[in-house]
Parts: sequence; structure tokens; C-alpha cells
Amino acid sequence: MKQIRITLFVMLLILVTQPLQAQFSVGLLGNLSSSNISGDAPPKTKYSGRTGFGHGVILDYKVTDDVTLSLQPMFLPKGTTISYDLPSYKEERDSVDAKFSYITIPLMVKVNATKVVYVTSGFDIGFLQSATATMINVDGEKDITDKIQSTDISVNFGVGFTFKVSSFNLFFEGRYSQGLYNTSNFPDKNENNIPSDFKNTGMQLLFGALYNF
Amino acid sequence: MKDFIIKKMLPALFAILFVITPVEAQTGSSTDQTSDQIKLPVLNDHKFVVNSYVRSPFIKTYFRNTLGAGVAMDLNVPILIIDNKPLVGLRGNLTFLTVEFEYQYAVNSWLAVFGEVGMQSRFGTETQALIAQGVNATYGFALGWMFKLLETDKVMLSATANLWNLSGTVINFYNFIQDIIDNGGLRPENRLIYSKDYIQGGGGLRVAWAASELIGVNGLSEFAFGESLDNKGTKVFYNIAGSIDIDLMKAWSVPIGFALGATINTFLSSGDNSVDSKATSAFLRTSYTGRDDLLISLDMTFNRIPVSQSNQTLNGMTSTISMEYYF
Repeated sequence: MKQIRITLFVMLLILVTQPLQAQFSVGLLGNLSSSNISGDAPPKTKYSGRTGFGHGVILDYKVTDDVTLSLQPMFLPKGTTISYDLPSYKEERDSVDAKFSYITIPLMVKVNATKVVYVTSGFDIGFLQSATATMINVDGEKDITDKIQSTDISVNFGVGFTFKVSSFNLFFEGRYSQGLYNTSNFPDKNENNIPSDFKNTGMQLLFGALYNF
Repeated sequence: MKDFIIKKMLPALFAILFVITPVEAQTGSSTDQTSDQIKLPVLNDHKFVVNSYVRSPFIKTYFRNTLGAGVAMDLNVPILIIDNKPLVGLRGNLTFLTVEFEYQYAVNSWLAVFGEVGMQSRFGTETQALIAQGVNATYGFALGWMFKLLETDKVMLSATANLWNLSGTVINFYNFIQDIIDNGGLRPENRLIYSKDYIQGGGGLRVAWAASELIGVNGLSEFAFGESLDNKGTKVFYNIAGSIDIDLMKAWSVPIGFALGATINTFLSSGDNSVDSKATSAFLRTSYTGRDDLLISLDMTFNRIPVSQSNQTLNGMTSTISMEYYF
């Protein structure tokens, strides 16, 4: 609920502060993400992807006919599932679910390849809202917010498709995101052997609608 | 035997040449083609013999596949030390393998996006070299953008922005054994197999100059900031390369091109924990240039690789086969 309020506030702020001219578009987006972390996995463990749903607003500014600058503040879940190599099982078993919630502000450049297809890339600054670890099949989750860095910077690459419907542009986009900084706050040597160096990474499927002013 | 060559081999050879060489009878030779019809990079009527060591600045859509193997000889195997007494030092060879796939897509006339996946492996080929250098495999992908900065009749200049996402796995027998000897037993932190994901980001400049219809020159400077396989901190890596190429098709209607070049590269040290500082390479590429959309090449590369563990510089030879198809 808190995230929805923040995104609505940012949307309102954008609407109020930006001069609405023909080259501006404003809209809403959804984000189906498969996030993971990359880095040294603890001994006898494996990281695997975690699916989540994000949402936010999008503000596009058309710089030229081919180039668009896009600001996309959104709530975005990240994290991973840690699977442990247990003696009684053949393959690693999903054991810990690590959930990180971010408010991220991607600033992307879109370049049209055709009227429908565009390629996009940009940077994304994320602010950690919460981080929890849940032992699967065990009740209760542990707050690990202080064990994760409060900000994260990522670089994004994507390919998207856009279709004009009346005054709206519908779009969907596939995006690869790679964190550039170590997000772990765990010390080098800790009792659970949690690594002191890992980065957020993941694939995202974004979709939404933009209203053209 | 003579009959077999005349009746079977020669017709087959002519058939192959006929199929792969689109030299049309009406025009006499493909040298009459305009630059617009040629999909390979062209400036000043010079068709560049592009190579993967000195990447070209041209905004084109293409696919590249490279497959190669090499060997570095006379590696001095470091001496194991027990109770401060040197044990044994031997010699061995190292083998290198590489596989790369690259796709570049020209979004418009001034922008291209590219992605590359690749794998490099290095291992000792004799027991002593295997013990000393172990097995090292690096794999990963690169994503990037290339922007055209300048285009004249003879010069093309582009800038790139890249992200490399890499993973490395090392099996280090020497360090593993030495640690057991030094500590009198196996310790939990003494790992025989070590893996790490690491990323680098950066960019560079690429330039091509068509000196004449016959000769072209390529240059590249590439920098990256990021992690390496064996280093927790971050470092700056660079690659500076240049090449000169000749396309014999234009002058003598012979569908062969050559590129001769050299590189100074510190990227290798980020993915191979035994390589110290910068590696230098000189290469000769021989390409079939009979087609306007395809380049098939054989590269012979001479490498000088500084190996930190044995404090020596190895000389090596690598052969690669490369195919670039331009859409």
C-alpha cells in the first residue's frame, strides 16, 4: 500500500511539474520480473530466480522522431531463492526465499528501429524499502533490511514493441537488468556463510499504456 | 589416379567455386559492383577485411561465429616447496580453446546494438602443466551500443558503450596442494574449485580509414572498469588494437583478403587468474572475399602471455576459424 501511495505521488508530481507539450506521454506500467542475484553462492548452495510483479508510472519525452527519453519510477520486487544441497536429496532443494522490495527510478533512452520496434537502454537507481528472508516450510520471516545496501544502481538493456491505439500507445518490452554494485551488507565472515558480495540481476517483461498529449 | 582427379575432383572443385563465388558473367567480375550492393563494410570503394580483434566501426547488421584453439609451450612449472626445500620443477604446455557468437543489429544509420556470448578455456596438456595451471574456464556475454560519430568518404569513427557479464571457474591443483603442504592438512577455505561471477562496464572508440581501394586501416581502443576473477576490488582494463588490411579482389580479382594487426590487452588478466598484466598478440587473417555478404576467415595469432605464477612470459600460437555474415 505504501508503495502504491509513493508511485501515485510521483505520478502526480510529474503531472504537476512537467509542461505538457506534444512530445510528452504519460502512462502506467506493469512489470513481471524474474529476479536473481549473481555472485559467490555459499558452499553447497545455488541461487535461482524469483518471480515478482512490479508497477509504476512512465513519462516519455520525445527528443527527436527516433529518440525518446523515458523516466519510469516503479515499485519493483527483487531477490532470489537459495537452494541447498541436502544429503537426502538428489538435487538442490529450495530452502530460503530472499525478498527485496525497491522503489526504482529507471532513466531509459528508447531508439526506434521501426515504427513498432524500439531498442532501449539506461540506468536505474533503486532505493531499498524492505528485505526479508523466509525459510521455506518454516513459519515466520526474518527482517534483513540492514544486511542489504540501501541503494542499488543497475544498467538495463531491452527491446520493445509499441502500438498506437487512438490517443494511447500500448507497449510491451523485454528487459535485462544487471546491478553494478555489491548489494550485500554481510560481513566477509559470518556464521551462515552468506556471501559478502552479490548483485541484483534479472529479466523483466514490462507492459503498459501511454497517453499522448 | 590421374583420371580420378580429372573426372571427379576438378568438376567438384569448379562446382564449389561456382556456387560460392557470385562473379556474374555479364559483368566480367564483381569489381564492377557499386558499394551500395556490397553488404560488407565499404569505404572509398575499399571492402574491409574486418576482424574480431579490431572490431569495425560500421553500423551494420551481422552475425559472427569464431572457433579456435591454441597452444603455449615451455611453461616452467613452479616448484613445490616442502619444509623450505624446493621439490621439483618441470616443463609443460598449455592449451587454449575459444568459442564466440556475436550478433550486431543496425537500429538505424547511426546506432547499432550488439550482443556476444563466448567461452574461453585454458588447461595444461601434460600432468605437470595441469597441476601447475589447472583448468580455467571463462564464459559470459557482452551487451553494447555503438554510435556513429563521424563518416566521411574515407573515414568512419564510432563510439561504443559495453557491459560484460562473465563467470569464471578455476580448478587450481597447485595452490590446493601447496596449501595442504603448508598447513599440514585440508582446511575448509582451501578450495580446489573456485567460481565467481564478475561484471565490467566501459566503452571505446573504433575507427576505420580506407587509404585506397586496396588498403584499409582499423583501430580500436576499449576501456572497462570492473571486477576480475581473482580480485575482490575493481580495476581498469584496456585493449588497444590496430590492423591493416588488403583486399586483392579489387586490384586483381582474386577473392582473397589479408589483415595484419596487433593488440595489447589487459582484459585477459581479468578472466584468467594466472595471467599477469597485459598480453600482446599479433595476428594474420586470411579471408575469402568473393562474396559481398559473407567473410570466411582463418586467423593465425601469435601471443605473448605473462604468467604470474611462474613469473615468465609464454609464447603461444592460436588458430581460429571465423565466419561473418552481413544481412
